[in-house]
Formats: sequence, structure tokens, C-alpha cells
Amino acid sequence: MKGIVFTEFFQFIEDNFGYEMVDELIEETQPASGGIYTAVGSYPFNELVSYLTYFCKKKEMDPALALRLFGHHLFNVFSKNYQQFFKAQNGSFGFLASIDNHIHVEVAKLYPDAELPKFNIISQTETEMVMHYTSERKLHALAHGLIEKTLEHYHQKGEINTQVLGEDGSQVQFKITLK
Amino acid sequence: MSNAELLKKRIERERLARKQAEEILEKKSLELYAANEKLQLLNLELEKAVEKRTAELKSAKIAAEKAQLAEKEFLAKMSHEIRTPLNAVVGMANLLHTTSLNDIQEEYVDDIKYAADVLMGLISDVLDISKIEAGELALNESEFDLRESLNALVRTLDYKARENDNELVVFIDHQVPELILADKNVINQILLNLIGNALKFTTKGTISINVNVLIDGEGNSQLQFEIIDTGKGIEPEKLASIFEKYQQENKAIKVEYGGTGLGLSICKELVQLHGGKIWAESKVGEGSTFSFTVKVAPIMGNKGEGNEEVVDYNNQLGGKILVVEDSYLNLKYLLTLLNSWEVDYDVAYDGEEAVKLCAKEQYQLIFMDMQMPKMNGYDATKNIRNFSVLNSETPIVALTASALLEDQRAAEYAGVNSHLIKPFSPGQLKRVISQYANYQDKDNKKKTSKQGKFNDEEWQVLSEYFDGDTEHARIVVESFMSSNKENMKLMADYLDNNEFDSVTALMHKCKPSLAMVGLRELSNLAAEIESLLKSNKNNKAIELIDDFLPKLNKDLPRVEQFYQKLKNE
Ligand code: HEM
Repeated sequence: MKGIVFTEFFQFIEDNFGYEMVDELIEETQPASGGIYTAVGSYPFNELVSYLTYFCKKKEMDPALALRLFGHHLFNVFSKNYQQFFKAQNGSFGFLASIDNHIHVEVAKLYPDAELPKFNIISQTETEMVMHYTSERKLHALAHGLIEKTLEHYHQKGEINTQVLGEDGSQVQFKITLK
Repeated sequence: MSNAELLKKRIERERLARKQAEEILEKKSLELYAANEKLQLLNLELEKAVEKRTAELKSAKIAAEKAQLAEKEFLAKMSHEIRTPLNAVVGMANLLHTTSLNDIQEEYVDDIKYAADVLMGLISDVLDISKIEAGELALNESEFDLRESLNALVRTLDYKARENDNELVVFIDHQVPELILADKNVINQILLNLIGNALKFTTKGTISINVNVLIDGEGNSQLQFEIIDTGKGIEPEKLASIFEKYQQENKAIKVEYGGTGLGLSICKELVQLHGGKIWAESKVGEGSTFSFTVKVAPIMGNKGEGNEEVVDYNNQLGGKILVVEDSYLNLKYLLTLLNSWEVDYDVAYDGEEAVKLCAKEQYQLIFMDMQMPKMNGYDATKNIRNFSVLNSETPIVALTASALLEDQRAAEYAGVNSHLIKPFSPGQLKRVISQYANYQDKDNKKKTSKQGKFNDEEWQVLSEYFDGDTEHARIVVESFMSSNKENMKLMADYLDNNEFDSVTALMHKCKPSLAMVGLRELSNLAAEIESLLKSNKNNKAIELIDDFLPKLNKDLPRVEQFYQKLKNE
């Protein structure tokens, strides 16, 4: 997993619970990396899982909610750093469709070791879009948060319906209905 | 945990992260550098490849241009190389003609000469196609006997006609003059093309060739030729564009007419060159008629005019003639003629030698071959014109195998006075000599004294067919007289038994000998009878035969007289 996910996760924790919480996560989970991340490096995905598990247990929070909130944070970072991707589209459906066929493609070019999810657009009308998330990392809740912020970014209001396909949560269907 | 401790930990983590980031950055930089290097190398290779390709293209272009030039040179050279031996064939046939030959031999020699002529014409035309199109072909008019030439042409095609069981029938209207001034090669090529096509598309049929005289409003005469076949005909759509230069949509025509597909368009160009028009009419299943006209000038008076000019020579001390020619056979032909006329000459085998000789002796006339080793005729002519004290004013006649205007202009530019185009006949050579040279024509003197005895008609025959050789003439007339009686008897028998084919053959055989003993009218009549019989117009033919026999009997004493004079020579 790319370092930016870790550095931004720590930023997200720090912003909400202070650096003590960050320090606690590191000290309590004893990651192989020593908790030392740079945005451009790559680190084991399970370190993120460990942080999340510890954090949610401690704060008695639903991990899905935590990831959704982290998604909100991450979106703000992306929208600040990669404005061109957002300007290229004039609606959330167009932008969401461009993740799989453009944005993540560019990411993979820049970081050949990036582990990216797959988004398949199943159907799309003016007001409704159905897409499937597929990833071994099962971070659909993160995607959920990112999608919520995407609607907000394009000043659109809508309902996001999530349906887990299969048992393990590696495949999830998002149905977005605009109002 | 105190704040200070936490901060210290945090700073330590940040420091390590920075170090890690720097290491990654350093590694990335190195990778980038290497990638850049590789890219540059690739670029360089690409540049080199482009350079190489450009160079290759350039040299390919140069090679192609060289090849094109070589091709042009090759064509020019081949044209010369092919014409030279062919000239020799024609020349030798001409020489053979001047020896004593019997009728049959004479006919054979004529056939050889004619076939060589046709070949010469063909070669020239093949090589000159591009020139025709560029409008650079010059008309090369000379006097000739159309009947003779057309009959000879038909003789060469007879064999081809028989392949498809076809018959060739020639009818030349009696209004067509005996001698015409026209380009024989051009007319022959048009005819060869049209008759050849007619033969190709006709089986078990007849191809008639008619020649008539047309007089336009201003009294100018034109000859109209018609080639009528009974072949399969041409569809109207094809007929419309049949003379157009081969184009994509004319594929069908090309396939049917074979060859380059240029034949008919060349005909059109040639006809136009000769001031005429060409057109075609056709009905599918019935046959086609191709017609064309050419402007010709009839020749009045007798053929021997040139000889008489010679008589007018003022009797200055005649100088020599210089012959500059590298081809052994051509030279042999020329020198044999000069010897027989007892003309004094020097020979130079190339331009350099010619220039040297010109520095030593003043000549009456110079015959200059244009293509020679060491120094060619153009350069030699320029040199003589500019530097020779003795010969800067001497007439120079170019001996050239090229009928091209371009070549003639180049020769004129170099300073020649006129051209003698190979192959030339003894008469043509003699005319040129008499036009320029101040020499005593002993041969002609001899003959002039002879003319006293001979009447104009006899004299004309003598000079035309025998070049003044009375011995040769005597043999021919003698053999005519000895075979005539028998021929007439045969004729009567054939007629009694309605054996018209044999009559046709007999007429054909008599035709040339009648002309050669001075019975030209009868010779023409024989030709007409022959062609009528060939086109199955037997009644008309019999009418003419009824005329023919008494006429012959009436004229025989004249032949006898001629014979007596010849015998007394
Ligand atoms: C400019 C916009 C975006 C950029 C530059 C971007 C870039 C990235 C990067 C660098 C990663 C990390 C890959 C790794 O860890 O190896 C990632 C992961 C991910 N991205 Fe994006 N992304 C963008 C927008 C989005 C949006 C709008 C969504 C949601 C629909 C999305 C969904 C995800 C998810 C769910 C992951 C986690 C990996 C996984 O699930 O397998 N991304 N993205």
C-alpha cells in the first residue's frame, strides 16, 4: 500500500484525536515499518488493518464508519493535490467513471507497485449510476466515503445504496441515485 | 508520557521518514537519469536510422535517374546499332539490284529489300513512339510508287492472311498517280497497323484495301485509304474512343487489340502528321471499315530528273568527294556506287581522320556519318566549319539513320547542309551528289550520249529500273519477249477453262516485267485485273482482259524496237 494512505491516515487520526493517538497506534501494534512512512514509499497493507482494528476497538467505533470518515479526509487531499482530474469532469458520474479508466490508470503508471481497486460501471443514466467495487483489500467503506465527498464536490445531492455481493466483501455494488 | 517526550519521538519519526524519502528520491533520480540516458541513446539511434534511410532514398533516386539516363542512351544506341546492319541489308539488296538478275531474282531481291524496309520502319516507330507524342517526329517525304509499295506490303502480309484463311485484295484507282511525294514509312506503318488489326479480327473473310483520290475545294489532292474487313466488328461504345490513347476505361480495347494498345492512337498521330484524318465505321457481326486520308503531292514528269541536272555541270576540274563513315558495310555500299559512277573519293573512318584530310585537300562534297568513334560527325563538322581553311565552305551532307527532327536540327546546328537518310537508294545518292558536287559524271555522260537513240519513255525505264545499265535491260527485255508468247497462250487457255486463279497468278507475274520493258500502262492494267479477280469481280476483269490482249499486241513492236536499240549498244 502506498505511503500516502498511511501518512494521510495518521493525519486524519491526529486531526481528530491528537498525535498521542498516532503514537499509541504505533506503540501498541508494533508495525514492521516502525510507523515511519513517506508518501512515495510502499508499506505492508496489514499495518493499516492493525491500526484500524486497534483504533475501532479502543473507540468502540464501527470500522466502516471510520473508513468512511477517512474517505472524506482523503478526498479533500486529492481534490487539493489533483485538481486537473476534477476539472476534467463536470459531474460526479463522469468523474467516478473516470477513476477506473483514467485516474487510477495514471496512478498505476506513476507507482507501478500501487494496489488499486477495480470499478466497473454497470449502468448509467442521467440520475442513476450502478458501479461495482472489486478489491482484495475490501476497502469499500473507504470508497463509500470518497463517493459521498465526490457528490458534494460537484454540488450534487443523492443517495448511495451499498450492497455487498458475496460473503467476503471483496465485491460491493454502489447504486447512486441523484435527487 | 510527557509532551516533550512525545515531540521528541515524533521528530525522530519525521527525521527517519525524511531520510527514507530522500533515499527513495535518490533512487528515483538515478532511475530517471538512466531512463533519460536510454532515451537519448534511442533518439540518437533513431536519428541515425533516419539519416541512413534518407541517404538510401537519395542514392536510390540517383540510381533511378542514372538508370533512366542509361535507358535513354541504350535506346539511342540500340536504334543506331539495329539500323546499321539493317542499312547494310538494304544497301546490299540495292547493290544486288545493280547486277544482272533475272525476273525471279529481281523479285526476290525486291522482297528482301522490302522486308528490310518494313523492319526498319517498325524499329524506328517503336523507338520513336515517345517522339511522336512529343511532336518531335519529322515527316520524311520522298517520291515513291504507291502501287509497288502497297503490293509489296500486301505480299509480306499474305502469309499472315492465310493463317486465318483470309484474302487480301488491293484496289488502287487509276486516278492515283504513279509516283507520289509522301512519307512512305508513315503510310506503311498506318497501313500495317490497320491491315494487321483487320487480319486479327477476321477469319475466312476478305480484307479489301482501296485507294482513291479526293480533290478538295482548292484543288488539293488527298489520298483516301479504306481498309474493309468482314470480321466480327466493333461495338459502338468501343468505336467512339478507339483512337484515343490507351486509358484505364479502354482496357477492353487493349485486350482485344493486343500489344501496347497504342497502335491506333499512333495511327491517328501519324495520319495527322501527314495532314489527314482517320475514322472508323463498324457493324457488329458484319465487319469494320477503317479509313484515313493523307495529303500527298503527285510527281509529274519522269523519275530521272536528277540525272539531267548532272548534264548541266560546267566542266570545272572536279575535286574529290570525302566519305566519312565507320561502318564497313555502309561504306562498301557507298563506295561501290561511287566506283560504278567513277567518282573520285577519299575515305575517312572517323571524325578525326576527316578533319586531318580536310586540312590537306579541298573537297567538292563531304558525306559525313554522324555516329562514329573517336570524333563524331557533329564535332567533325563543327571543326571543319570553324578551322579548315580549305573546306570551311564545302557542302557537308549528313549520313544519318535518324529521321528525327531533333537529330537533324543538331546536325544542321553543327553546320551540315542537308541530310541523306539511311537507307538511301542509288538514285537518292546520285541526286545529292549532282546537287552539290561539280564533278564530271562520266557514267552519265555515257548515258547522255545514249539517250539520243532512246525515246523519252525508254530512257525513263532505263534509268529508273536499270540505272542506265543497258546490258541488264537487254537481258530483261529479251527474257520478256521470249516468255511473252507462251504467257499469252497460257492466258487464253486459262480463260477458256475459267481458271481464274491461274489468270490472277499470271497477271501478278507479268506486272513487274511489263513495267520494266516500258509497258507501264499495261502493267497497271494487269494490277487492276489482278485485284478485280481477287475480289471476285470476274465480269469486270474479263472486260479489262479483253482490252489487255489487243493492247499488248499493239505495243509489242515498241518493245521490239527498244530491244533492238539495247542490242546495238
Ligand atoms: C484524483 C483522485 C484520486 C487519486 C489521485 C487516487 C489515487 C489513489 C491511490 C494513490 C491509491 C493507493 C493505491 C495503493 O495503496 O497502492 C488509491 C486507492 C484507492 N482509491 Fe483512489 N484515487 C482517486 C480517487 C478515488 C475515488 C473518487 C475513489 C472512490 C470511488 C477511489 C477509490 C479508491 C480506493 C477504494 C482505494 C483503496 C485501494 C483498494 O480499495 O484496493 N479513488 N487511490
